[in-house]
Amino acid sequence: MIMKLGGQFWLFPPLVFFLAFYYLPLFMVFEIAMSSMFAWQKVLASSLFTRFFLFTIYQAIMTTIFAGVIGTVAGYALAHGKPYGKRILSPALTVPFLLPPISILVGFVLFFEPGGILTSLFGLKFEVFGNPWAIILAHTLYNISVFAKMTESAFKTEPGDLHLIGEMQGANFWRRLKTITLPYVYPTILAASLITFLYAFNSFAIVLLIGEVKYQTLEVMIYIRTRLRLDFMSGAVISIIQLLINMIVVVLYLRYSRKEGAETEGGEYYQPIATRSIRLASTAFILFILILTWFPIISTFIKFFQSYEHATTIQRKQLLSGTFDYLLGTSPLRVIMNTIGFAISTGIIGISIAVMIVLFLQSSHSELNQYLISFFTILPMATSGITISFAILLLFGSDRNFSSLVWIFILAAHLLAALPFVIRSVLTSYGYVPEEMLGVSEMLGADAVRTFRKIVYPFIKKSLTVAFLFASAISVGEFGATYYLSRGEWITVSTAIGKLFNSRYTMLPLFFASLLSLLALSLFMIIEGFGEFDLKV
Amino acid sequence: MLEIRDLHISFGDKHVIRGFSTSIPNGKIGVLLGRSGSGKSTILKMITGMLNPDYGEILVDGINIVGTPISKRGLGFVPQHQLLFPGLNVFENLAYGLKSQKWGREEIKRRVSEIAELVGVDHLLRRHPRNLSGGERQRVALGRALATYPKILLMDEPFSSLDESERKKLALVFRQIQQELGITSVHVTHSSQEAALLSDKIVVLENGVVVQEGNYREVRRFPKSKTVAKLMGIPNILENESQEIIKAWKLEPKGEEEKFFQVNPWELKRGNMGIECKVIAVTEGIAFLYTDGNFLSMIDDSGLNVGQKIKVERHPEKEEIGKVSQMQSRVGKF
Repeated sequence: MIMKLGGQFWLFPPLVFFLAFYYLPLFMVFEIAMSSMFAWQKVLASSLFTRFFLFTIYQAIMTTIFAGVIGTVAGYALAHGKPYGKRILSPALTVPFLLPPISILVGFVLFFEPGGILTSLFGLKFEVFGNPWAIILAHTLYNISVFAKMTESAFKTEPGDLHLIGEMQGANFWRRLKTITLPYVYPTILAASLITFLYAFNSFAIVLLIGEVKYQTLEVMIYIRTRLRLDFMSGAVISIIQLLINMIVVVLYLRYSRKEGAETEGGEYYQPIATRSIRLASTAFILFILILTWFPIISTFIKFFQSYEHATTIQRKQLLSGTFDYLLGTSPLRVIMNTIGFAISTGIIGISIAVMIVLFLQSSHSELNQYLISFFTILPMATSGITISFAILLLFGSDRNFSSLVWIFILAAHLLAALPFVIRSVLTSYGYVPEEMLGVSEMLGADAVRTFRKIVYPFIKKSLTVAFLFASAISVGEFGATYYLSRGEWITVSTAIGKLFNSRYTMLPLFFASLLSLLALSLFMIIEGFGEFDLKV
Repeated sequence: MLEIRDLHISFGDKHVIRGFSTSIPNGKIGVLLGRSGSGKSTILKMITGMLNPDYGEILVDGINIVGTPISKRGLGFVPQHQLLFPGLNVFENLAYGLKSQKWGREEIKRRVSEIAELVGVDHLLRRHPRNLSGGERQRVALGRALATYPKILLMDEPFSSLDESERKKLALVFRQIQQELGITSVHVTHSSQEAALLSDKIVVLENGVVVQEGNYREVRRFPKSKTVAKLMGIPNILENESQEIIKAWKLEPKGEEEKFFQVNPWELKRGNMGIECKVIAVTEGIAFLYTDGNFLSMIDDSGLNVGQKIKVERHPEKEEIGKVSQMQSRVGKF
């Protein structure tokens, strides 16, 4: 009985966190939205809403189609085409997904802008600002890696014996693709499509900064209505509409991500013989995608070093001095410290919450509890950063200490973005702990903490480390919520880039963008080193 | 007829198969018996064409098929994990090869219904694989392999993922169909019981080399080594070759290539002399005993109690193969 009580205690802190920073604030959004039908009529009758709603869906579908086709072919090439240098090509393809959208955006603009690499190398012109295709292209480049990595894993685990039988019975490549490969990988393709759709549907930074008001996603609309025009009612209505669509997508995603490979397990995986020409074609295709996705990133570094080289000594000194404090609200050094502080805190608190949930589940022995926890902690995934910030502002914004305590709310928003990934990853590893071992430990009188230390921890320690790093990476790249909530000196590198994006000072945002990319790359390399990186939630 | 001559294959520095040769006459089943990693699946892969041998020949009806495309080898294959084409129903699974080989619609219908009846799935033709039991799936897998009239049927531990009762039943169904069709077959397994039920010829593999071959009775009665004896499920092999036991029970060494000691369960009797053993378990007339590092079994109906210490003597009698099978079916492998 004592142990049962002890076990239940561990649920208390995560419960308080989710209630205080997610469910109660979200309830406020519902309350405002439902308080008057007038707001609904106003929003739904607005031609601007219809236009931007359709645009949000349209660009999300187009992104999913383009990223899906290119990424799936890349996944197949990686899995079966045996490209030369696969050890480098495969992780290199994953990097763009881990980079903060704002870094991608800076590189994208530098690559395509007049005088950028595309114009100077190939003489091609492509208007980035106010062009819907630029938004779709930026989203596509960012999401190819999702498809490539997810489908690569699925293609690699196709049952080899089934292909052998197909080949023995005279089925050619296309018939085997139709009857074996596609039925086997379609749940993965669907899951990757849903996650890409979700990303593009909730895109904020890219659309806000290059959409030029003409093109807005619902996320940008909520920001403009609630933060700039203070029209909370219509902002709440749009948030609810966005939330409902997100929830449908998340439920479908969870359904299909569970289905992957369920029907044909066992035996050796399919490993076709790749001829030299197939290997060359695979390598060329992957390299082409890498050029597309990496050039914008590299452009940022090149541009920064160029501007640094051409800068005067005074300008160089100004980089980290107090010269730009009036633009940022604080010093660049403080911005960097904020970013690192939020990242480490998000990692530590994120895995602490995950561990507390595991400690609770350990003593509850209930599959229903595990299911309920998975469900309620994954819901923030269906809620955009702007909606979460708006909800937090509604609940806590009237407090006179809001501005001085804003760092707590920014941290909470970062945690809400990271926790669905962290908890799901840790619970997946926890699922491998044999239930009998937990029972034996309980029978032998070990309390929840001892059982965790001696039995559960060895099973989940790797995923805890990866979850810590991944949560930190999410915090480093988080843009929407921080941009929305930040006050005074509490801004991060990614939001600083956003603030400086259209200013005439280029060296500082370039420095920040390069730094952000380097940070994300370092975190990615450490995660890759653990060999447990998985793009799936 | 399937004839394999001097097959060699290496992976890097590791010589996995070294000079494997055997032959399986027309209409017979050859069982490749060996532990995990002995090389039996590698041989199967070379026959299918998934791997090319470094050296050697694989002859089907006198024609060397090494280098022949997989689709032209005339083989049928039943895999281990009841793998059926996931998006297709039973009819479509059975018709898969026929459709690939461009048979006419009516011919396909006729052949599928013929083969479905043969393997006993004619009532399941519209079902999806996920709605079939393990045994039903494996029947469909067999039907699919036989539909295209293969010259050789290859089976890679087809019953290993089924439960005990289903495994025996299906093995007998396979045997009956194989005899009816007279198809030459290669069956890979590590189960001596499957070998007993299915084999016309057993080829025992160890580290990529044939260590013994012959029919079941020959290999069972005269295993050349301790490894072969264990693979054949022979009971009461002494793990600790205690001189006291060997002397007291007057055991003769067995094995042409590697000496070992073994005593048949029906030769052991409770007595006043002999070796002291502790009764570990008693079930259906068989007592399981422990003495000096050895677990042994003995036929006994005298009502022994668990934990009791008894003296056991040996009274040699002529080995009877029937007794072994009978005991195996009663208590499984020793």
